Amino acid sequence: MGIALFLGFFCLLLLGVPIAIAIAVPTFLVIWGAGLGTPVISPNFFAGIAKFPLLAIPLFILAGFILERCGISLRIIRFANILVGRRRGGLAIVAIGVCVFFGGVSGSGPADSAAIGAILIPAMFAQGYSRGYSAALIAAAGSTAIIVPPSIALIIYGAITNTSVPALFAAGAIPGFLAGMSLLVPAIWIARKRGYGSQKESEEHIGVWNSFKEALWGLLAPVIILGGLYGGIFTPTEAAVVAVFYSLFLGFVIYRSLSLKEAYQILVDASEASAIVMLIVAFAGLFSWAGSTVGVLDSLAGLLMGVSNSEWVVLLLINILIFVGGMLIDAISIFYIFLPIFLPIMDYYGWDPVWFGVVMTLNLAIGQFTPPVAVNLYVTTQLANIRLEETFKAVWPMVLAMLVALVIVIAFPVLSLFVPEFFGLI
Amino acid sequence: MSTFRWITEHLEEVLGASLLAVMACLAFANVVTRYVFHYPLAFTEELEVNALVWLTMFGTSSAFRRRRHLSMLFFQDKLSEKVRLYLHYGIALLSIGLFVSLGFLGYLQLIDERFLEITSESLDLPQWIYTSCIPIGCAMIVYRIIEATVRDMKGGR
Repeated sequence: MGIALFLGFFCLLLLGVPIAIAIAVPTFLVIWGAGLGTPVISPNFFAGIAKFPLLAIPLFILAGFILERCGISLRIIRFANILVGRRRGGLAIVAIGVCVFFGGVSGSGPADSAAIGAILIPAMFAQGYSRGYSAALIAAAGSTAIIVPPSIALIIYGAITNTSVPALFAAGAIPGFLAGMSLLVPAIWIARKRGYGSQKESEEHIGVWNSFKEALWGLLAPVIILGGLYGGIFTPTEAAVVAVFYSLFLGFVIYRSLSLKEAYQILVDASEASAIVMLIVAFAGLFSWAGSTVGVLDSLAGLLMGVSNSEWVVLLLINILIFVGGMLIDAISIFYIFLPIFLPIMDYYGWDPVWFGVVMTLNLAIGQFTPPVAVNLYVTTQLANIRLEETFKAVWPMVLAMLVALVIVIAFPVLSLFVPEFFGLI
Repeated sequence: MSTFRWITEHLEEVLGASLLAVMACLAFANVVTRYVFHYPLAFTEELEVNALVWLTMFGTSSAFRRRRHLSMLFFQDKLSEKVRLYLHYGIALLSIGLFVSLGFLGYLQLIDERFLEITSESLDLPQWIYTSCIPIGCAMIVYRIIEATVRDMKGGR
């Protein structure tokens, strides 16, 4: 019965059934078929969503949408461009920097890639970068959004494992930065080799100082969000709502770039985007409940640990599993489906849950831009108007570079644990 | 287009957007009262958490109308036009079956809660008011799936 649960899910997924539906259909059938009692479905569905920590998700999504559309990304890109954009491969450096930075206000990889890619891909193309390279780079750099705090994936991880979300957010900072920096190596190397990036003056002569002043309000956003969280002033939900009102203030008062009509559209899009996430949360929660009740999760955990006595082999196996899973589906479904299998293993070896959460999330970030499926590449290739295959040559070195960053984060837990320990969050 | 038609076409968008705006304002009011007046509005928590379920139902419905749900289309894109069309009908049927059962089970839960007169934890409201979002939301979702599929049948070929 348990195997049917997993098999049914993967078959439906491969057929292109929406992820939430592909999770729910086998779950309902197994609950019914195994006689677990269909009356549990509706209350479980309700309770899976109605959780206080999850309230931060729609608010962070809303804040990200407002910041994206009130013209902040444009001003930050302009500022970064004036600082480093005028050298060979300069725009590539700008793209990575801005994506990592924007990950500090948005918590979703595809959203980050879409926000930055919409502006930077045409600009990169105009400076002679190939479309495949630009799409690959933005997809890779945008993937850091789920590890750079705030992160929707880490909120979900915290809710499932009962780990402090502020501690997870603090732990993601250095690994997220490291993941972004690791991309610099292949990005600059390819850009130099292919001679990307003209060295002509940029057309905007507004100067470093003016562009800094323009970008300053935007640059402050992550400082407020993360500063408030690390300092223990705000809970994640509070930080999210403060971010919402801060970005509204920027859009309506400082930049005057938002209209009421646009604000309405942002609300519509944000409520829809939150619902897509929350529906997966609710059904995936039922899935893992059904899986653990019929006992398939325990036997899978036993199977994993039975492969080898070595902690490192098991860890490697887990990472390969997450990596392959991350190529196919979103981080949230992965957490609900795989975490119940991994938790007993984590307990057995005494792994730190904060460190393990960061490792899993960073690994999932890489899966987001690894061909052939890759949600982020899907977004950026649409923006660049090319086929997925055209990015392959440029994207593999980037996958490799971030895998190196992952190995470093696994090998040195202090990289994840230093910041939360410094702020006394764990 | 008349206003009435616009509203019926965008009903759950209007409801979802307003609800999210209200949730954000409540959460913000909570921050302000906690830090400025040192008086947290604890009761807002119950409203917000339950509003999240309503929001999910409204948003899911409009996401079906606009075909925004996440799916993995890598293999589907390799199929022929015709097979893909049938696959779409199959997926629509599957989704309808799913939300009809969820809505029905939610309705049974609602009946139970009315019968047992269960009330909510902090505001003491009848719990079935919150639960009603499941049957109502599912009905909306099923309607939107049928609508989108009919649109496909007319324009898809």
